[in-house]
Amino acid sequence: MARILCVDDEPHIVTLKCAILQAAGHQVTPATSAQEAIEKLELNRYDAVVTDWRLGDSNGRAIVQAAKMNSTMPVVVVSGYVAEAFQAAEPLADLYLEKPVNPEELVTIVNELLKTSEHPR
Amino acid sequence: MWLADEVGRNWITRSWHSLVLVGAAILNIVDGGRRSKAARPPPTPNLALQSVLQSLPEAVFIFDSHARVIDLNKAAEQLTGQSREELLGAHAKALFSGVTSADIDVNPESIVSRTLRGEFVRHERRIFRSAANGRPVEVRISGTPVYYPSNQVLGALIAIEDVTELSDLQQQVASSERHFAVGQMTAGLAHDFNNVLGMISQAVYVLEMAPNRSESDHTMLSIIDNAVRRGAEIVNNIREYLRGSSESRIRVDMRRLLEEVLQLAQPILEMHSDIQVIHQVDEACEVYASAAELRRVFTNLVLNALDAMPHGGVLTIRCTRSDGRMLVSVGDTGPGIPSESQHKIFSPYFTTKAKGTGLGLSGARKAIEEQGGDIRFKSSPGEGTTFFVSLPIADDQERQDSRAA
Repeated sequence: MARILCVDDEPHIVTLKCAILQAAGHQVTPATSAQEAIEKLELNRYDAVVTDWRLGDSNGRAIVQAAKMNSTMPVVVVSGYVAEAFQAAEPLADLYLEKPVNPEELVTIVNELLKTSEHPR
Repeated sequence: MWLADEVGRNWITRSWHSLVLVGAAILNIVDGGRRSKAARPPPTPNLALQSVLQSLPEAVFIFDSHARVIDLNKAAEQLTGQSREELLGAHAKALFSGVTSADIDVNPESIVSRTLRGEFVRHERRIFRSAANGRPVEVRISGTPVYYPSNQVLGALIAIEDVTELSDLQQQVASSERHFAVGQMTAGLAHDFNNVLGMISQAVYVLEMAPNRSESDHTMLSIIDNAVRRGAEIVNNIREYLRGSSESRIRVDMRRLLEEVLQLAQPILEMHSDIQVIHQVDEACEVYASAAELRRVFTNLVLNALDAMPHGGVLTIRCTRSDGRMLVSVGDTGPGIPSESQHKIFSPYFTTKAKGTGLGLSGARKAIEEQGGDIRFKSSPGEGTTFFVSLPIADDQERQDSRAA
């Protein structure tokens, strides 16, 4: 079980993503804006972040930055604008997935990334 | 719509030019006529100008002030299907009786009378029912008054151009533009729709993972899941169709490709033990094309053929060299395509299958044409349908490509 922060500005989508990751046995916290996500990252400890890229007026860049600042936690960007997200400046997320994502694939990927980050280099 | 504008401008320039020439001709004729005091038939005009008039692509009629024909050219005879002798002296009313127009008040006869009143009439579109073959012809009519030096109108020069082909072309351009716009819109819709489907399938996934799920819930969830998968397939078909193919062409061994296709269809073939497969592929059946596209097209054709034979039959796949092309045929012994549907089978969104999207065959044709090939079919009710795909032979096409490079 890992603690995962899940970000999407669309409430239904964030609910779904949380449910998918919960069903896989993780403890998931939802956030529906970049600001909320960054606040939560500052206050709590998470093992991974799964975030959308376009979030209202802002984007996922600050979230990736906040997550990667003091940790090696895996960050997965799930977006309809993967190319845009990938072209954004460093730091890079660990993986970029094109929306709509297959739930099983998302679970497998998050689990794989968690495995490697548990044993940092 | 640059094409229409361009053509229109060209026509105007061309037509002005010719009208000026013919204007000169008529002045010559009428002037000659005045001197000889004979209203009609016209005297022998200047030979050079008369040949100009005769060679004009537009049908030209020259009317006297009583709206009777005093001269015309060959194109005018062709347009009306009547001889020069029949037309000379005819009144505008009789001459244009075969003309239909949406606006009944504005007929060509009135163009003649307006011109005779001194008005320059420019390019009015009308539909002629050509007397020559009864086919409707779209024309552009212009009228130019011909003056005495005293400013009195002497006659009317009516030029009629057959723009049926041009009009068809404009319609094609308009239709392809519309097609493009629809394509853009559809691509956007497909993207959004895919996301919606993604949400549904994610919700289904979550519900499937829930503990204590009842058997009937499971059934309902698989129904939703299947429906979503079909929806996603449809969206993918549309996207693939819109994307077109840009994959580069390579040397493709048709023998291997067709074996792969049959392998893909194997599970369906196993379900239909009453379908016999005849697979005849010549040696060295190599074409120059995109393997992925061909695989898609032939899989489609084979699956269609199998769909057409739910009660068994014979699936025939052949590949032979014919007239310097590779000819691949996929045939079934199903009920055949009803003759009233045959002309529509390649158009997008046409399907005879209850669950088809109709993009299969139109996508197939698009793909094959992009490979420099063509696709045809022969279907006899009760006997079955065979699709013939002709493709460029590898050696020929490669040679051609390297020469071009």
